[in-house]
Amino acid sequence: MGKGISIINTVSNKAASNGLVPETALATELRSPRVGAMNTQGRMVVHALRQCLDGHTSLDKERVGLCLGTACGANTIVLESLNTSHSSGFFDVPASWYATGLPNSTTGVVASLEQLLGPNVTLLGEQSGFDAIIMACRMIRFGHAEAMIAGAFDTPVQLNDTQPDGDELVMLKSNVAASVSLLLLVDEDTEQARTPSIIGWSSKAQHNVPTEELVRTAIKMSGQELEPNRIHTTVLDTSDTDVDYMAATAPLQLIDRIVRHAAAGTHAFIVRGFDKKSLCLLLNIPHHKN
Amino acid sequence: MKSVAITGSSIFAPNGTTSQALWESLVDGIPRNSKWPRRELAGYPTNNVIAIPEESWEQITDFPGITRSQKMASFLTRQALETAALPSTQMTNVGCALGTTTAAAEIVELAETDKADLKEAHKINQNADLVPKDIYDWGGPTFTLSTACSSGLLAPVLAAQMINSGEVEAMVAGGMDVLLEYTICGFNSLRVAVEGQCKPFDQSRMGVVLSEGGACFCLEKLEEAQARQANIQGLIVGYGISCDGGHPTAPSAEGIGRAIKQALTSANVEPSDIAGIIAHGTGTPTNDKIEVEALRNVFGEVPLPPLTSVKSALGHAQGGAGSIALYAALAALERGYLPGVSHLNEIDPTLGDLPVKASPIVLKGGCLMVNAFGFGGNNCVMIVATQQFLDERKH
Repeated sequence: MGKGISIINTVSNKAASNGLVPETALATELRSPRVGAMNTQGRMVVHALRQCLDGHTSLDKERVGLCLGTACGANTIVLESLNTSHSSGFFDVPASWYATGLPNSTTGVVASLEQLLGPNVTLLGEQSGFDAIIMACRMIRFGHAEAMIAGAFDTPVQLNDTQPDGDELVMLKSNVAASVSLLLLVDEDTEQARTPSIIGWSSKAQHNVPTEELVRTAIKMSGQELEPNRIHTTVLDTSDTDVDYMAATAPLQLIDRIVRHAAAGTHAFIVRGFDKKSLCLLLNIPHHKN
Repeated sequence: MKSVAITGSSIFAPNGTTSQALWESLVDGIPRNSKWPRRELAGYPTNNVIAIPEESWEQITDFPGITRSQKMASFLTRQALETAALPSTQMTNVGCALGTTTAAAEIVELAETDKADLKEAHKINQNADLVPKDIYDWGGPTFTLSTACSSGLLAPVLAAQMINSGEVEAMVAGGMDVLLEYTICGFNSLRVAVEGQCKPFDQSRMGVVLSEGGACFCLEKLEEAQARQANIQGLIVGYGISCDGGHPTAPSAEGIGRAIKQALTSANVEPSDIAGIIAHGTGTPTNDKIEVEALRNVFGEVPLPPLTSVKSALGHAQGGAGSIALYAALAALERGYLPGVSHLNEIDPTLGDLPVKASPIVLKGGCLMVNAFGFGGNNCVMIVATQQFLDERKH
């Protein structure tokens, strides 16, 4: 892979203990002339993205892209559309709800508001936040962007609200909460390796793939001569976290445990999900972090 | 870019699961629209769709998955892998990239409207990822992306790049979507769903006929495919991706133009090398106009080559549309004909002198452009070619 991808800023905003996203974590705009009404997901990501880009004015926004993962997308709007149509009739469903209910609506709205004209990709699923970071690195490597904002957002949809009386809420975990976690990534050239950087990755969907194999594959991809036994390995089991931030869990943990707080050296951060999928990110943490 | 070989493919469309069935539906002019057969819908101005027959769904009922999107993904992925017949040496590092618009919405609709089992619905709500992990141990990267109606073309584009970068030996990639009440409701609310037929580039075009389906492809390095004498169905020789950064649903000639330019540059071809275009061609007055404007802006003095849209015959399968268009491009290259625009009566004169016909047109070359654009301002353009086109260019 050659040079790494520098992580030059990170932002993590989570729901408060009451499960609600605080107003301070939302963009102030409720609607915009360019994109119309903005939903909670859009306001949450726009706010975090502005925090992430703060101070990085030299970036050419036409060459900045956005790659975000989400498990729930804007499913609340899907639900609202169906409920409205069934309860009061189709003509009460606003025209904007179809586009804003699609999972990629948030990345589209954010790109439009902030005029980010680089690649704009939404990934789906439980581990899509981690996938999105890897995809953003590829986009920079492929030459499609000078910088990418990558990570995940989720605001869980409460299907139980609409079920017939007597149905109980069934959640995989009791603590599911909204969150957005973003990383600002650039090609290492521009930051001279003074910041944490991503130097390789691997992804497999196989039964019980050994940690060593994931690390070995990521090392091979990095193109660097690294001793596996000198790499600090952290394995995150997403079924074993206190609060489930859904797709945002892995980026949030990556930021908190590795990017901001890990000791200097080479780190492998591994995520294993409910299904067979496992991912590994290989990072260099320098002595002089931001 | 370095060309990537397509050595396997699969399709699940309203007219069947083979290349021949797809081709027939593109050229026979038979209308396939009906009311959505799955459930009675009342209160929508139109409920006119091109649905996959229930008998076809029954044929894939044993494939893994709870939702129809998941079952279709399992079917298409397995078929694409089987037709490619990859050797065991390559099978250890195969990945999968799928695109969808509404796989997550299907889960919500299942739980809400169809009153599916709540526990199952919540489980799958955690996982709108369509990659079937029960049918195969993927040794390479897997992901499901969503860029609305360009998803099915973007997935193979990114897969091709990942092969070229050396990250993976081979990829199964494609896109798919199923018809939902949410989609029917949405296209009605946007006032682009029409009764009757979808008529791209026609003077009387009024909008979209929704449909469902998808296609998948097995991609690998050209040298590997040639070395094992694989059946090379076509080559991905270039692509372009762009984001409008504009309106959530309205297209932008500037944004689409950027993707077209990138695709030509990436393929190292001139506009005059393009023998035909499988347009996004949704049949709405605005979309067709903007797409033609973007093409003309890039082609400049070079006359546009023959143009078609498969949505006239097969409807708009959203996340599946780009993949179905790519599948149609491979079928066209194989036969040497570009399918016509079904149901075309009179070309819209405001679109200028447009090389569009209702019947198939003989291709004068082996290089095609495929377009797919999506809500959110996502544009994807791919250039596909025959091995012969590549060989002739070398000389």
